[in-house]
Amino acid sequence: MKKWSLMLMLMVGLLILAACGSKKFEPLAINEEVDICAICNMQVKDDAFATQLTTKDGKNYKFDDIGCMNEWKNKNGTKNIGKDYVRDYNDKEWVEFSKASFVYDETLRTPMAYGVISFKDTASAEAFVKEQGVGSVLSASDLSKHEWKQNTDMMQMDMNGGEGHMDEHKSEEMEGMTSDKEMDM
Amino acid sequence: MVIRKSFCHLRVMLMMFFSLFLIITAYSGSASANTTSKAIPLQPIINAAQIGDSITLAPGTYLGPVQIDKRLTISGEGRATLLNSSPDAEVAVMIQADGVKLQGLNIQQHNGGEAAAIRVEADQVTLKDLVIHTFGFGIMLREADSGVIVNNKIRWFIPKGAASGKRGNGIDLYNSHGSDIRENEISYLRDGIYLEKSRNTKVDHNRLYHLRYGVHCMYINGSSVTNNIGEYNITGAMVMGVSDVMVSGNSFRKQNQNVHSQGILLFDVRTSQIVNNLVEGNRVGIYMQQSSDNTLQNNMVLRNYIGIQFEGSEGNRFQKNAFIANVIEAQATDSKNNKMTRNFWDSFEGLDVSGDGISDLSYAINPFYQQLVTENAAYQLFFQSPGMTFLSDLYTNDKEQWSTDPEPLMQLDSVHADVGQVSEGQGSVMVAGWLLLFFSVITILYMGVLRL
Repeated sequence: MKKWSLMLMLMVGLLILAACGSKKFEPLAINEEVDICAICNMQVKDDAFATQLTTKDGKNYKFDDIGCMNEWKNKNGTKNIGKDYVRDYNDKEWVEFSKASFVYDETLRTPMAYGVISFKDTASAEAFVKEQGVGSVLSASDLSKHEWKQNTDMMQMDMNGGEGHMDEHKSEEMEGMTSDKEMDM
Repeated sequence: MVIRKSFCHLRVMLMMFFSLFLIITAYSGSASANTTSKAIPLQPIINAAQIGDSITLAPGTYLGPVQIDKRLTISGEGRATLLNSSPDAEVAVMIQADGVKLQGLNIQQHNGGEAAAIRVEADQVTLKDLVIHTFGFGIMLREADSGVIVNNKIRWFIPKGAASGKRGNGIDLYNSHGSDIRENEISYLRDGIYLEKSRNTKVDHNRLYHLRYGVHCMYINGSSVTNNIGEYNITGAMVMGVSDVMVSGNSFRKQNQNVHSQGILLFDVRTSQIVNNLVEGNRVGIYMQQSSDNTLQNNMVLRNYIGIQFEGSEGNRFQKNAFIANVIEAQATDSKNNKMTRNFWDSFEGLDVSGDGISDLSYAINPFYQQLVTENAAYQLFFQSPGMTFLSDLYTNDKEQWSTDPEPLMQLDSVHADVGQVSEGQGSVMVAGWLLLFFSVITILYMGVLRL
């Protein structure tokens, strides 16, 4: 009898220990109804651009673009991240960020215009580049040196000209505001 | 006897149902027969026309898809309907010539996914008085500058059904600059008006209902979103990654069906004007994040759960806005150097010693609750519990860094004319209250207390 209770206690103890030790991180399914990007607030579509990370405290954050996840890492650091996941462009399977391959090209269209898409292996990333004729294959470590530029305009030259003009315009308007002028409702 | 009578009733009912069913099937049968037998293919008519011709279509049903590759004016006078049910053809109307005008046509796009009812790949195209029903997108502009899209009605085939996120956009612009989008009515789609990389676009007087986002702007410097009405969307206006944009005179009401709903969301917005807007009955009225150097002025923020929410926004001018009957007027975290002055906060008890209509006490936004809730959303359960109020009052850390209005208005400006009614209403409640108190005092005085 005593032996049994000892065994039982040992078993229970082991179970508790096992539960403590094996902290498993699993990618969560995307629920389009309620999931929004932790950075930009846009709805996270259940598509290949979605990414997510789970912190060591078990908090899950979802992003609509890998660029937004990068932004989160810039803000909060990577120390507290348990696991981060991206999706394979072709079959939407969740892949660990560090094991994935990436393709960047400024002409690629992604939700927040960062132009980076992810693949589960280098082969499929290379196949994509070959098929599209544009883009460069990057590994997860290459991405840390990536400049994460958003392609917000197709014609850069034109935009710069336009912006100079806008600035003039704006300062005029600002002066108007300070003179206590009311806008009509 | 009784049983037989009720049985009789049942039989009559059944007969009626049956005949109704017959009528319906016969009707729908004849209708579908009509459309297929009488539909005229439109493409041959277009092929036969000369450049610059005006074609007026006789009332009736026409068959798509069509491709317009020369400058034409096609008018349906509201009684011509174009069907596109062939599954091979993605787009119902493809416009590839500059200066095409399409007006008064009903278009039914039965193809879904990325397929649009109208796809424009040319400049100076006019789309006017169209009625579009679609399973995919409504109007799509790709590298098409200076388009004019006026007074169209765009909606999903079935009002209810797939989640709005799975539908197409009403008007979708990509890399198309200088368009004029006016007086359209868009409902039951994904985003009403989606603008990406499209500079100097004017979005004016549109009506946007039951959409994911009413107006969704991404990277559209120098554009304006004015005088639009949005109701029952997840978000009224989603303005992201822009500078020098004018958002004015819009009314966004009742965006409260989703846990992430808001009237206007500003994310990464710089040097823009957000003036004279009305946000009413939303989950969050105006949500501003990582935005700098904007002017928010004369906005009416009524009856929202959270009136305005700032996160990481700096250097904004924030003046003469009115906050009335919001559950939480304002929340601000990590937002420094905002010039916040002369707003009207209705729950604020100010003190005006000098009599200039400006309170001598300042209004400071305590970030405690918001910080707590961001850390752990479940703490929302303690909203306005005595403990939470007590802790908030205790929390005065970095008070000089809080967003503060040093000169809040004591009363609403005459500028906010439509608010007059609200304060009047409050006045009459006050009078009623005083009367009630008066009568109860009289009653107690004359009748005495109740003795048992």
